[in-house]
This record gives sequence, structure tokens and C-alpha cells, in this order.
Amino acid sequence: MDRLSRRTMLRLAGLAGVAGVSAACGATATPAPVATTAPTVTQAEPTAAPTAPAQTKQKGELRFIKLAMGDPVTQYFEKTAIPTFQEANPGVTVTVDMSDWGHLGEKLLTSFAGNVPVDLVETGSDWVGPYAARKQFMPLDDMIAKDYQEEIKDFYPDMVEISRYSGKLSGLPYVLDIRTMTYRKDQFEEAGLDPSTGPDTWDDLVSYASKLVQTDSGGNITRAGYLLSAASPTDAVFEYWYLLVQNGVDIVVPWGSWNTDDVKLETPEAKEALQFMIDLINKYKISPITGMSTKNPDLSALAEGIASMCTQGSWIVGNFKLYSPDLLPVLGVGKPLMKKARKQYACPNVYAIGSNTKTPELAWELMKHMVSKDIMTGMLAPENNSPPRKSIAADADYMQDPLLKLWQQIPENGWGTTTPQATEWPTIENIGNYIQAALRQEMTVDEALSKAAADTKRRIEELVAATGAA
Amino acid sequence: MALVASRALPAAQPKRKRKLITTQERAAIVFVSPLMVLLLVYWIIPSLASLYYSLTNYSVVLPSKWVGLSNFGRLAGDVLFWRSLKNSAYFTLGSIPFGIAIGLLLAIVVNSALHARNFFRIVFYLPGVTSTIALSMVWLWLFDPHFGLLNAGLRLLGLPPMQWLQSTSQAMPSIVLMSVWGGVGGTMIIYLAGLQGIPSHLYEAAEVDGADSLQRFRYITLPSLQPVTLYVLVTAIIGSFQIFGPIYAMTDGGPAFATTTIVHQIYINGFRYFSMGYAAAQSWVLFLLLLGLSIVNLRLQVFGFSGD
Repeated sequence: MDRLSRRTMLRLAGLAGVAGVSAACGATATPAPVATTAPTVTQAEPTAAPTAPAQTKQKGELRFIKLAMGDPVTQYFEKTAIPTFQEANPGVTVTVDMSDWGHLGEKLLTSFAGNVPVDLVETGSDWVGPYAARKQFMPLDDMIAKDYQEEIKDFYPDMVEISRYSGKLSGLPYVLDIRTMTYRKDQFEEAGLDPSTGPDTWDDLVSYASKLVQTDSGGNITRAGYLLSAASPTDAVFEYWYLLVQNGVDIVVPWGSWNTDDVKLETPEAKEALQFMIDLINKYKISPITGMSTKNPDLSALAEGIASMCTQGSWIVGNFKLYSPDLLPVLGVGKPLMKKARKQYACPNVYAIGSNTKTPELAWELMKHMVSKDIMTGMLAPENNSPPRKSIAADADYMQDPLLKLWQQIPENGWGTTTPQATEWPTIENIGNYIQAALRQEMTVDEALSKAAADTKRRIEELVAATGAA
Repeated sequence: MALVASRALPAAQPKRKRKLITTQERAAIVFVSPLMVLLLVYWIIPSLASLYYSLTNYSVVLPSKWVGLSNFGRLAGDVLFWRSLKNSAYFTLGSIPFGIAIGLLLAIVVNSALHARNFFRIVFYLPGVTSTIALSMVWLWLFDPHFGLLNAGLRLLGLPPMQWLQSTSQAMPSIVLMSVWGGVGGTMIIYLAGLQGIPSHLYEAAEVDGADSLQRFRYITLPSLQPVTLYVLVTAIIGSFQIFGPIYAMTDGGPAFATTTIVHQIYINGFRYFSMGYAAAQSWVLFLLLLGLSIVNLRLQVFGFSGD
């Protein structure tokens, strides 16, 4: 082979440069925004004017990273929630930095890396553990002991404790993402089922869904008996996780353990839950593996009539009120299903204070303001979201809707739980890919759960090694 | 000549000292230095930093520790990394031949005396200037298994609907389809420029010699476009191994890891798991892979195609 000429060498060097830059760009590419799992925008409800928050003597600027909201909530947030705090605290400016779930991790990462203060951030309570383990969120215990001991009694204790890591509380809940069985009463009646109650057990689910499912002449499902979406890893893992906790286990048991021996994805209960999920799709054929898409993106699958049952949060009530109010009377709300335990997802979004805040006292004042009864009510009412405060659940005008009260029975009865503290969201999404593989019969149940367990253990080990979490 | 002869050269003129930097060179440095500074700050230093980080367990928010080559060692046993490599290769092999063939075909079409050819040039190029995310959103609807236009077309033809992005076997071909459609306009433009650079007298001479159109394409057009093809091939390989936008927006690597690619894995490790050290190691492997492929391409061109 001839030696490379100088010109060729230069061309090679140029190509190497291009490849290097390209590889580096690829590694750091910032993705475009994606849709969040935030609740659907729903009808606004007038709320009482908030009482003025306690005035502080401090001055300064606070950076508040807030998750994206629907229009009516944004309006309340921008025109009432933040201005009332600033008016009560002259000299304090709140800068709001909006994010979506997809970019929250990146925003926090760059904030801590660049030491840009995270004075207040809204996140999921299931994010708190790892962030607290990395010492990125401030413990709130001293501040609560100082002036919040009475007020915190108004929160559902379970929903507060979710944000406790290593004995210290690092977040206060502001909204509950509670899910339960929802269904169409009219379709129940047509199928000869009792519309006053939803399915109670896994067996009921199969029996009801089999009667409700509809197909076209080609055998394609046109109405899911129970909408079991496995279209994305997130959807798939959520649906699996519901069954997992109802079958008496969780990804990690006990919930707050960071011990990899406590990963329970290879237990008989976990395998039974996955096999049941596979059967719902492949054996009982009550839902297509692709889920069901609505023609009108504003409508839920229940409102559009392409599903008879699905697991949903209380925001679906708001969605019906806004986009299909005539169908509200046929919306049924059931209890979480029972196998070995009656459990469902109940995960608060919380406010946390970043450990790099330069004004912790001011940040605490802003947090208290945002979780105050008035402001919380104003923020939750427009979308009919579930409150973490008992007094709001009992007294707020919007919560007088009997449908919404059915969601509150989940935290009130201790049926709520959330994904384990040691499993960060990417780890859970990763499990979702293995669930998808099993559903598509590309892996056996044993193989999928064994690989999912191995990955989960490795991620927890890495986190423990990096943070010393325990 | 007389003038030259009349000038007497000094017998022993002392050697003139050359300035270290001439005025011209100084000017060149002044003009080049802003770009060099930018290259240093945004390319060389980050590249070297990423090489360093690949040898640590850097996670941005925690102090990093030197781990030597263990990140690279871990790659060997990382099933997802190998899966992503396989998926990236699948995407590359699936998209490049079609992209080049269709791009060349379109270039020949819009280079001919076609009526309204400027209109077609613009139309074919439009997807290339549209945001990847916007394209992805549109294609998500086209691929929808229930209401998508593609399945509607299949039903019209009496064929069963497909799952497209929801199927592990169809998801990557679907992304290849979308990417070929989106990228073919750019390839067409490059080939069009190449076609317009081929001297017309070559075709005239071939015609005189009795070559038909297929022979003219085979013996004049294709060899003349060889440098263009090399450029398209190298940039397409680099680009396709870096596929990220459509994956992130349409499948996030699913279903069941069927579409996770190397850059997607780099993103997941770096920005979701905060394992920046490991992500940096993956980036360097990608860089070396692309460098290797580029060298092979060049060697083929220099010593193969040209018959050197």
C-alpha cells in the first residue's frame, strides 16, 4: 500500500476533526422539548383571594424552577401566587424558570454544576431521595421545627414522609398524582354490568373487560375493555407497577431500602404480575398492545369512547368538565384493584430547596407561601387536582365534587404508594423497556425481569457508591 | 540586461537577518486568532476534558475519582451499549444506500430539462430545512397505528395495519423511512452541484462515440461524481451514527430498546443517570469508530476507486 501523501494526511486530519466535533456534539446534544405527563388543562374554578403571607425583612432574588402548568393554573401562578409573595416581601424578586418533566433533570444538573441557585424547585417526591443523597436538596426539619409544626399536621402524613431521606425531610407536597380505576357507566350498563361500582379484583378486571371490549370485522380492537397502554416504556412500566404493588410487592421492598438484595423483580409475585399483564393483552385480548389513540388530542380515551376502563388521575374529571361536560354523568370512579393488597399510585409533586441556595430563609418563606392553603387551592382548583392537605380536601369548593372525593379515599385509606426511593426515574423507565420486550414476547417473563433486576441493582449500586446513600 | 550588468553587486554583503515574524504573517495571525481561540475553547479543551473525564467517574455534582480504563472496560460488558451499536449500524446501513440512491436519482431528475424544476428542487429540499422535532411530530401522526395516514393507506389497499413505531421489528425501519425522506433533499442538492460540474464535452464526445444514456451514466456521470459520493458517504455515516433527534422525540429508544442508538445511550447515561464519565467514554468510542470508518472510506477512494 502506498504511503499517505501530505494532502491525504491533511484530509484525514480534517475528517478526524469533523468526526471528533460531531461525536462531541452528539454527546451533548440538547433535545427539543417533549410532551410532559402533566395533567390536562381543565376548567378554571374561582377561588378565594389568598391571605397575605408573612412579611420578611430580607431582600434578594429567588430562582424558582417550576414545572409547566396548564393555562388556567399558569394564569393564577403568574397573576396571584407570585405577585402576592412579592408584594408581601418588598425587595424580594422571584424569577421563575419553567421546565417540563423531560428537562427537569438537565436543568437541575446544570444549575448545580454551574452553582446557579436552586432556591425552590417543583419535582416528584420520588426524585427527592437520590437528590437528597447527593446533598442537592436541603433538609427542612429545622425550619419546620421553628415555625411549621402545626401547619404540617394538615398534610397527609404518608404523602409527607415520601420525601424523607435518611431521617430528614427534603420536600413538602403541593399536589397529589393519585390514580385509580375510571370507567364509562353507560358502557357498563350496555354490557350488563353494575355501573355503580368498578371492578374490585384482577378477576373482575378480566371478566368486566372481556364483556366491554369491541372489535371490528378484522379482529382489531376498536374499544379497549381496559386501556392498558404499553406504547412507551413509561406507559408500560406504570401499568406493570400498578399490578406489582397490587400483588403485594414493589420494585424494592421495603420502600426506602437502598440495599440491592431488596430488589424484588425476580419474586414469584413480580413474575405473576407480568404474566397477568401479558395475558390481558395476548390471552384475554382486552386491549391492543399499542394502546388506543384519540382522534381529538384534547379528549381522553374514555370521553372519546374508545376505552371502557382505564387508570387515571383526578384531572380526568376536569378534562370531562372542559371538553365533554355532557358525558360527566357517565364517568365512573372505582377503587384501586385488589389482588394481595389494595394499592395504587399516589405520588406528590413536592417543592424542595436546593442546597446551593444563598438565601435559605427566603426560600423557605416562598415554599411556605406556595403550600399555604389559599395558594395551593388556587393552583389546584383549575385542573381539579388532588390536594395533599386534608383541609383543602374537606373545605375547598372544587373538592365538594363527589367524584373528586373518590380519589382522596386513596391517601385517606392508606392505599397510596409510590415508586421506591432508591430507583430514580430513568431506572424505572429502563424497566419499562424490559416489560415491553416481555409483552412483545421477545423475552420470557423470567428473562425480562431478571435483566430488569440486574440493571436496577447496578443503578442502585452506582448511586450508593457515588453518594454513600443508605 | 545592460541595466542588470551595470549594477555591481557588493562583494561581501552581510547576510540580512530574517525577521521572526513578517508583517504578512503577523496579519495572518491576527485574522486567524479569533477562530483559533474559539476552536481552543469550544473544541480542543472540551475534547481533551472529555478524554480526561472518560477516565474518571465524573458525575458533575459529586467529586470525581480517577478510575483509569474501567469505563472502557465496562463498555465491553454493557449489553445496552452493544445493542445501541447494532441499532446504529442497522440505521446506517438502512438509511445510507437508500438516501444516496434516491438523492442521486432526484438530482438527475431536477438537473434535466424538467418543467418547473426549480419548484421541485425547493419541494424536495424543504424537509431538510425543517426542524427534526417538527418532522418527528408529523411522522408520529403518520405512523399512528390507529389513525395514521400510512395505515389508512394500507387499509385502502386491503392490507392489514402495521404497528410501525410500536413494533420492535418495524420501529427502526420506520425511523429509517422518515430519515431518508427528511435527508434526501440535502443529498440531492450536493449531487446536483456535482452534476453541474461535469464538463458537457465529455457527454458530447461519448455521444459521438455512440454511447447510449445508460453507458454515459455508467462511464461518465458516476466516475465524475466519485468525490461527491465520497463526501456524501462520509458525512452520511457520521450523521447516521449520531442519530438522536428522531429517536428522542419519537421512541426514546423503545420499544424494548429496539431503537436505542449510541448517542441516545450517551444522552441517557450522561443526562439521566449523571454518569458523565461513562458517557464520555462512550463518546470517545463513537469518535474512534467514526474516525476508523472515515479512514476506510478515504483509503477506498484513494487506492480503490481511482485505481491508484
